[in-house]
Amino acid sequence: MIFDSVLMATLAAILLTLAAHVIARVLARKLSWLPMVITALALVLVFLFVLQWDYDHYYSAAKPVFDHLLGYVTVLLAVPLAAMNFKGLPIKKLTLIVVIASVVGALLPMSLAYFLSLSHDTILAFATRSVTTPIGLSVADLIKAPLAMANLIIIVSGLIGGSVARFLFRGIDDDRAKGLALGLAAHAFGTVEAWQISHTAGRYAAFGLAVNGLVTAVWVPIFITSFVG
Amino acid sequence: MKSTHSPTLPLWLAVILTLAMVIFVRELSVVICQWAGIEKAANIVGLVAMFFILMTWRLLKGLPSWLTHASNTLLVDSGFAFLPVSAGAGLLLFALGDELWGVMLTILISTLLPLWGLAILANRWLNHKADTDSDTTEQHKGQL
Repeated sequence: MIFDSVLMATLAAILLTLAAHVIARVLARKLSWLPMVITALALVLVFLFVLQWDYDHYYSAAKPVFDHLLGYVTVLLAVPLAAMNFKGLPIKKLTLIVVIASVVGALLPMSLAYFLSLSHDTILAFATRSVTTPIGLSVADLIKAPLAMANLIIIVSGLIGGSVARFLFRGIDDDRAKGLALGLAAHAFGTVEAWQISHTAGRYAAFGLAVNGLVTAVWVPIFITSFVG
Repeated sequence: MKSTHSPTLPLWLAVILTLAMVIFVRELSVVICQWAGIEKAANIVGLVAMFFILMTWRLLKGLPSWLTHASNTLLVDSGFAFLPVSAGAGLLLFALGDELWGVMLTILISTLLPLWGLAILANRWLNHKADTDSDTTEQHKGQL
C-alpha cells in the first residue's frame, strides 16, 4: 500500500488501528471470554495483510501520533493512583505486595535469563519486564539495555498475562485482587484486560501498574548500575 | 485527607478537561526533559508531576469525582495507544534466532508465576478480616 503524503499514511494508520480497536471492543462485549487486546492486535495484522501494507511502513506512519498517546496514557495513570481510597485496606500488606511485585518482577526474569544462558543485553532488558512500555523504555535507556528487546519483552509478557489472566483467576473471587495482580504483573495489557473484568478491577490494575512503574523506575537503575552494570 | 467529592460536570466535558490536563502536563514534561537532556524520562516525569499535582489538589480540596469518572472512561480504551507497537512485537519474535525459546520461556514463567501468586496473595490479604486495617474492607469492595 502506497500513500502520496505522510499525512495520508498517518491518517490511514490511525483509521486502521481505530477500526481494529472498535471491532475488538464490540466483540469483547458480546463474547466476554474473548481477550480484547489479542483480538485487536490480530485484527491489525489481518488488516495489514489484506491491504498488503508493510508493517514497518504502517508503524512509521503511526508512531508520531501513537508515541504521544502512549505518553498521555502513562500520565493519565496518575489519576487512579492519586484517587486511590486506602480507607479500609491493609496498607502494610498492600505495600508489601507492591514491593514483592516490583522486586520479583525484575529479579525473577533476570535470574531465569541468566540461568538459560541468554546474552548480557537480553538479561538487562528483562529488568523492565514488569513495567509498562513508556516507563520500561525509559528504564531500559537508563540501564543501557537494548530498547527493541525491552519493548518486545514488555509487550509479549503483557499480552500473555492479559490473555491467560481469566484462566489463572478461576479461584479468585475478589475483583480488587484480580486487578491489582494484573496491573502489577501484566502492566498496561493486564490493565486493559482488568477494565474488561470490572471497573473495580480496572482501578486496582491502574493503581498497581502506576505504583509498580514508579517504584521499579527508581530502584532498578540504581541496582543495575551498582551491582550488574 | 479528602478523596473525592460529588460530580457536577457532564461526562463529555469531564473527559475534555481531563485530556487537557494530561496533555498539558505531559507536553510540559517533554519540554522540561528536553531542556534537561533526559528526553527518555519525559513520560515518567509527567506521571510523577501529575501525581504530585493531584495529591496536592486532593489534600487541599479533595479530587472531584468527575476526574476519576473521566479517567475511568479513558482508561477503558487505553489499549488503543499500544496497538501499533504490540502488533510489531509478534513479528519481532521471529528475528530472535537462537534466543527465541530461552526468551519465551523466561517471559512465560516470569509473567504467569507472579500474576498467579500476586492474585492469590492479594485475594487473601485484601480480605483479611483479622487485620486491624481492614475492618471496613467489605464496605470498600467495588468502591475504589
